[in-house]
Amino acid sequence: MSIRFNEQLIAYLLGDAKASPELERWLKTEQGQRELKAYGKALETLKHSYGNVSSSKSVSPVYYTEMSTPVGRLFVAATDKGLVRISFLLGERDFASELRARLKREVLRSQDRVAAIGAQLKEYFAGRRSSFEVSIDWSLTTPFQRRVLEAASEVPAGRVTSYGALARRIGRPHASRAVGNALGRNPVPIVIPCHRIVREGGDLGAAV
Amino acid sequence: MTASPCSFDELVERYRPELLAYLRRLLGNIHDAEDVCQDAFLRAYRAVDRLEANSNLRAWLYKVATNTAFTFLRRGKRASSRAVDMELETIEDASANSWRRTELQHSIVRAVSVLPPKQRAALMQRQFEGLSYEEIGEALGCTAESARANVYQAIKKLRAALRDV
Repeated sequence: MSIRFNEQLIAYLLGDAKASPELERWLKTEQGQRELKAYGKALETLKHSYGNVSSSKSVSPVYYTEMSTPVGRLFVAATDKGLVRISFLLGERDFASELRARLKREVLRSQDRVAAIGAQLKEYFAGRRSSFEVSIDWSLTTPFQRRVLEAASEVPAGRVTSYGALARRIGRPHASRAVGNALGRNPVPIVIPCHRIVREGGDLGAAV
Repeated sequence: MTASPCSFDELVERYRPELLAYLRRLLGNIHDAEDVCQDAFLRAYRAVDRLEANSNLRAWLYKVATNTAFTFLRRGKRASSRAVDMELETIEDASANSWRRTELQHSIVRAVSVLPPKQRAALMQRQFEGLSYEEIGEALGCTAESARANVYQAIKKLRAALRDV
């Protein structure tokens, strides 16, 4: 008997059918009350559990940490894809809010998640390392900028090259000014050594 | 909604978000959902020319997505023992869930994860995607009445899962 009412109750709760007089009478019984409550809870919990999947987070957060170095305090951030940002100039709040705005991800402070690159930076500043073994998350760069920075990262330690030479290397011989701009907006200074690229005359151009 | 002359890219852009959400509900996690969604649009791309004018484009896309998901499940690519854990991970939210609600959610998610795929698909289409029983029938290759029976069966099982809570 209750089996038949269960079908009617579901139809009623889903809005497929109005409650019949006999269903209404049953819903006033103790059993009916209990079933109404239980089905209601099942549907409500289903909604809570699966209702928000499209808006819930599908991207992992950005993690960052602070380091003190011989040249001052820096912040370093990484995503699940790799190193995404290093900055000497920004304070913590600006650093984090810039990342949140540009990457549209949650930004969390965590030393552990950035430990690998942190350790390499420490070795670099202690003079025990001249190049880095990290994957880079290029989300903050344009495709052109990425080509420039990848070319710059191939310049060996202790060597310098010029904007013009780098422009020629990426097949854009007349783009030395654009190359300079791309280097100036390098999101990961030090790890990508834009300080190894100089103006034709030999003075230092791009700032970190 | 009927098929209209529009580029396939527009179709993807328009329906991908909701189909991805549907597949996530159907498969229980975002990784499988993204794989299947990509595959489903590839299948849809190959088949869209054969779609009759005036067909229900949305229901048809649900059909393609559902069939792709069922094939995926039949191949057993998803480790069923891990399914519940993955689902819970999917639904666990940083927002303050009370312990009581979390306990209820565990019961419901476990019950959903062991539903036969057809019942699960029918349930999600009815409760979250706003498809009519006719459209669900179209997507699942059955009658509207059978689609409705699948939804009701699923809900009865969810209710039964709360028996001990």
